[in-house]
Amino acid sequence: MLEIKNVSLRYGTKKALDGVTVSFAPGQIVGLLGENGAGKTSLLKAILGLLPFSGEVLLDGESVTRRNIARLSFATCEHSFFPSLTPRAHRDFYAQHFPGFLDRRFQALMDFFALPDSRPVRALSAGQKNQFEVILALSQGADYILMDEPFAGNDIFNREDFYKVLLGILEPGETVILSTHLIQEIRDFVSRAVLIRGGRIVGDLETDELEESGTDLVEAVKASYGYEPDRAARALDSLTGRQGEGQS
Amino acid sequence: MKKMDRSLGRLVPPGISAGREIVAMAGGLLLAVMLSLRAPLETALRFRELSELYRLGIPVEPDWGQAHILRAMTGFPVLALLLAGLAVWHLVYFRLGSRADYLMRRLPDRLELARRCAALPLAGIGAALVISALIYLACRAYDMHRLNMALRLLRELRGE
Amino acid sequence: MVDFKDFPLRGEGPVYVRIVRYIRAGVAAGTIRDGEEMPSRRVLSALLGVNPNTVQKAYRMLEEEGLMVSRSGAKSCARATPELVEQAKKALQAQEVAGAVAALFRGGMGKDEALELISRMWDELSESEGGEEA
Repeated sequence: MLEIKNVSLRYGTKKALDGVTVSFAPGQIVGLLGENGAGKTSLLKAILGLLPFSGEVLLDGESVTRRNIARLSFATCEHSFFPSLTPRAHRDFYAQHFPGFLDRRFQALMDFFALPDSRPVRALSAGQKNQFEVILALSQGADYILMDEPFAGNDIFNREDFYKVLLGILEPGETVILSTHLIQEIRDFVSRAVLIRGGRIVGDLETDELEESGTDLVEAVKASYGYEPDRAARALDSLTGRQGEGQS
Repeated sequence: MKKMDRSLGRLVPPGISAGREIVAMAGGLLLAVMLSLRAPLETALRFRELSELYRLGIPVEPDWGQAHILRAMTGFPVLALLLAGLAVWHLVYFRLGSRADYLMRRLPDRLELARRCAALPLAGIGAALVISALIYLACRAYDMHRLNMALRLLRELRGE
Repeated sequence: MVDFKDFPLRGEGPVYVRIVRYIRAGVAAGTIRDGEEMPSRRVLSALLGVNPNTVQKAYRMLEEEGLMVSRSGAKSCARATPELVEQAKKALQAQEVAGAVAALFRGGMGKDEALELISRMWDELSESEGGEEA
């Protein structure tokens, strides 16, 4: 169980996270949804200890330290690989540092995406770099796989391929937390959607429950955000109204 | 070079050539050593000047301090500063082209990042300290030797 | 193995309902044979790109309807006995009609008018296609 308890975080003067409390159980595929600057990235980085925060992050009751950090892995759109190293060298590095490294899974994913093994990663295309970043996160042997907008720059066919591979390759006990703004796309893929806004959790929906009540995830997210569908229409109204009155 | 890179690769950030950095550090040390040769050179020149004066019968008191030694050795602190800068550069290197520092800071091995950044610079600074200490002692010894010789010549001059 | 090649990726209703409908349609049409193997939960989830819980839900519903049976520890198989095929056909037909009935009902048509409409259209179709009255 990954528990985040009352976590707050400052980014300069701004409060990037404000008293966030949420838990993740093994086996869930969770979409972390929110607009830019909502706090998705900050939350993931706080969990991994990459940003200082107040509050607690507990992995099966214990703080995240070097002793258990291998149970968390990370794929980020900023890329955390070594650009000058080949995929093979990365494999060696990971195998050396992470005792649970999944070599066969690494090979299978490299084959599936047909990534060249012996060229430095910086020579790969943008889409391939994203794929490699995710392959590393999946092969580390972690129980909780955190991904921060891992598909920035990949085309939709790429992404759909990817969701399918993920579903096939994940073991029942592995948890994926995927931060994205592509709500429509991940609708079928996730079992839970956590909505974050202004550094706070504003929604936590099980897709099961949504299905039962006949609500669409996109609609539920819009509702959570207080999205007003007639906002554009009203704005137009007031504009044309003003024009009709002339200068006032 | 490749062999050195491979066996020492764990001491530098991945992708950086350990061999090349070691060669550069050795070069820097050599340069600092060569610069420090000015000290005994200056000592020798001063002694020769004194000898000339004594031959002319002028009883000048030999007195030279350590300032010239310290001046000649400025190569070493400069080298140490550059090596500290190298450690910082190693740290920055992980943030160039990607955020590999996110990976380094997630490793179960707490020392990995520190080791890769600071191992060679610290080794270089250590070598600089040892070598500069030895050179300092050698220069002082030579100084003392020339000083004693000068004092003896002075006493002869005074007819003592 | 039951084939999901023609599974409609976009459709009405939650995914698990669509999976159940797909199997029902296959059984009714005879393209799914009795005892044919069903893909495992994980494989189907990867194939369709949907969460395994969704597939689980669909499979549970299929088991409740008798269209699927799980052997202990091993594969699941579709069931398509003659009774089940009949049942599935009827269920599909009911599905077809449900949509039309709802449309007419909400459009404000009365029951007798609706039955008359159906009767007339049936006769017209019988004449032009020379089919039998059911």
